Amino acid sequence: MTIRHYLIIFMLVFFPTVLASQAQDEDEENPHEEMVEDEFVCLDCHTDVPKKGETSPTYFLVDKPSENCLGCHDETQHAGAKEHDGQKAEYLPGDENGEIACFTCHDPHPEGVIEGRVVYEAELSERSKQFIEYIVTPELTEAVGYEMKPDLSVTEVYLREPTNKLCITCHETPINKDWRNHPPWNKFTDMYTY
Amino acid sequence: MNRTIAIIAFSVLMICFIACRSQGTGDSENMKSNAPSDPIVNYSHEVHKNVMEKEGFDCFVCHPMNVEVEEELTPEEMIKISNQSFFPGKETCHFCHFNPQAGNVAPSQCDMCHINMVDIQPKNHNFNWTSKHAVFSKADEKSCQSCHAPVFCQDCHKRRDLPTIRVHDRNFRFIHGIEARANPRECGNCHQVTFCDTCHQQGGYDY
Repeated sequence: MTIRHYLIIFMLVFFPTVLASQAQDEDEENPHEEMVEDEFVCLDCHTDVPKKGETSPTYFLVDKPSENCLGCHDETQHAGAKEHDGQKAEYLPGDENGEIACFTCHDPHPEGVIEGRVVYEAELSERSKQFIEYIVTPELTEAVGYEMKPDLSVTEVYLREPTNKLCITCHETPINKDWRNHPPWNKFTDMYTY
Repeated sequence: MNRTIAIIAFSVLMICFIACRSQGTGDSENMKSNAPSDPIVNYSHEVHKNVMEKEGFDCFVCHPMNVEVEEELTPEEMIKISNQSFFPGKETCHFCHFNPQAGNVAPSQCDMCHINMVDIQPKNHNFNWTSKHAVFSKADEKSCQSCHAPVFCQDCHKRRDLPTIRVHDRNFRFIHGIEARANPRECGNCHQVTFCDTCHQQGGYDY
């Protein structure tokens, strides 16, 4: 065997190994996915692996509930996140002050971690996807001055309810459904007659 | 004499009031506001819920949380973009409410949402606009169509049923003085001052 043969064998062994380890690193960067297989990933966020049935207002988190997610995610993780900041989380889990946090809408645990827990993708109708792509996004791009891109297949977001149901859990409850106190339509249609 | 002074004072006050209300609307010369003055007051989720569901539109259509900018931006810029993304823009509302497609039955009266129509009225739609509008409409037809449906032009330019009066009710001539004093700018949208003078300077209509 010549040096060239040794070199080819080395490349065939070395590069796949490096690529595989890189892929593994990327997987490990997402503790949400990892926790299904490895319960010690829980310790990334919790002070102890919570036992079944245990409850605590702090969820045994390493930081305050309001700050726990901010170690990896930021407050503007997605459009509209900041706008919910400081609002009361009356019907879904809230932070230490009862206010909306990331985990109000998103369950940090994928299915299979907590028994009986179901999580959902951000599923949109075809018409909604097209509308966002062809009507909303171009207008936004023009309005904000930056190239905006829609993410039309949002899967790993672990929503606590299906998309629309999650929104109306707070926005159209029996208490809030008329919160805007909408006046009758004819008030407006009759205003500008000459 | 006292009555004349009172009328003049009233007219001046009205002009000042209208001018004040018009100030600060629109981003720049001839630009319209993109949103109603206060959408929270006159928008109802309850009213829209059923029709949106029927049309297959999700909450994200108006509140798209799944749009993102790929560039690295400062937190302040991101918050600004988040806010702008989270609330619907003009095209989103107008897709249903200003879209003369066959089968679209969504109400399209502008004043249903734009309660103060001055907010969306271009600044060049002012005195003597009726005489001037031809040049502008030929130069930029699209600009007209951003507010007016084609039927709006046809209503004047192509209609033949003359007995129907489009703008003023019958016998408006007898009550126009009240309207003119209440809102002189409204008259100026179509008429020049000389239009008034043609009658009022000849005597006999001095009231």
